[in-house]
Amino acid sequence: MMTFGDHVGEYAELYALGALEPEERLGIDRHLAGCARCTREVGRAEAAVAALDDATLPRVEPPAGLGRRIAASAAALAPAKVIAFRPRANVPMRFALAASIALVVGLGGGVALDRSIGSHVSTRDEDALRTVAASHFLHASFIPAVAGAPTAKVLYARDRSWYYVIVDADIAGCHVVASSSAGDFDAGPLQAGLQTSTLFVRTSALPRSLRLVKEGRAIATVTLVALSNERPGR
Amino acid sequence: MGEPNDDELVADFIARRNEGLEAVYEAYGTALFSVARHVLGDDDDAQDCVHDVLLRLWRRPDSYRRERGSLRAYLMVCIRNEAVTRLRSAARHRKIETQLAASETTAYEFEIRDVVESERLKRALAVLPPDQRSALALAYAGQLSHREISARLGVPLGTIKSRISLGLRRLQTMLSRQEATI
Repeated sequence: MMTFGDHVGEYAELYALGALEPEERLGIDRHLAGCARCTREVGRAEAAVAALDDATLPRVEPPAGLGRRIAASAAALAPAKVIAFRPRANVPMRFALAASIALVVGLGGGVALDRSIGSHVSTRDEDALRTVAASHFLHASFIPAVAGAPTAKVLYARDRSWYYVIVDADIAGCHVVASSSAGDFDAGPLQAGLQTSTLFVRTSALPRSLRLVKEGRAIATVTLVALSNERPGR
Repeated sequence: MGEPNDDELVADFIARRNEGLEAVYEAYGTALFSVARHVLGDDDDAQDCVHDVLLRLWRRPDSYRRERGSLRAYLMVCIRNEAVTRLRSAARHRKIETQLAASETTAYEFEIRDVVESERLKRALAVLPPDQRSALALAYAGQLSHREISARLGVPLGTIKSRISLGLRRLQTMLSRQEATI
């Protein structure tokens, strides 16, 4: 677990050099979000590492298609790739969870959407729900890694295009970290509501497993059933 | 290394204007790809890394703030961190372990390629204490974590953290002084 005092101190250089583990980096990132002093400190260390890169690394031109690929992905992201699925404050938060789980358990694969669900959620929430409802998907429960971890589930598309983490608790400052053969990837923070926290992620390849990470510590994990992750055209 | 129209570029990036991402890639794409390619050693992996990191940062409005300093350096470090994480995973990590086991642990050194920067960096590196220089080289060139370096050198973790941190700070200070005297 990431431990440092009031400021990041010598971790600034370790961070900039890539010498920390992913969860340690998350701890730094969280601290930097509220500390201008440490942000400047890390920025100075980053400038030193960039200077080393400029002096030591051979310059390699990226393939011509990479810029187009990035531009296309950015266009596809608009207005947001990560959709916060957060029912409004006057709606019981458990309702959204129950509705989503009902889609899985009750309908066995989510092929329909109860219109009463849509009437209670925002437009962006409707987008997420529509995606879930129009997809064939699997689901799995997170396994608690610490005592008192909240109940959590992940729904994930059979076509590997999205996954949706639902935690039965209002849990602030918790990130979803995805692991695949390519490494760990911080998928983003859970969006906390009154009693439920969620994160909907569109992706091109499903992760192998997910971790809920709070304060640098994994509080629950889940392994997704292996689906082929071969990308079209590669 | 120049940062063309950095103010405007940063403003567009922070505001998440589409042209901002394109301009960032246009200005820094080669530097970012070079870092990813060097760490990962594979064009396809490097492309995925640059793509994923830029998109991830792009969708998070709070990912970069001006007080961080250079946007270019920030992005290069983000790419390095992601590339190193990917490298350390699974089979790739085992490959590095094998390579490391077969080599002298402290053999990692800085290979200075840029002729302009060469003398400055050589002078700065030359005055680093050997223990700081080798710890820094293992972290930078060897892409090892502080825990791995501690285990390999048989030196306490706290000592390794200090050596790396002090080494990079000194390097940074000396490079700044040299810059000021040029």
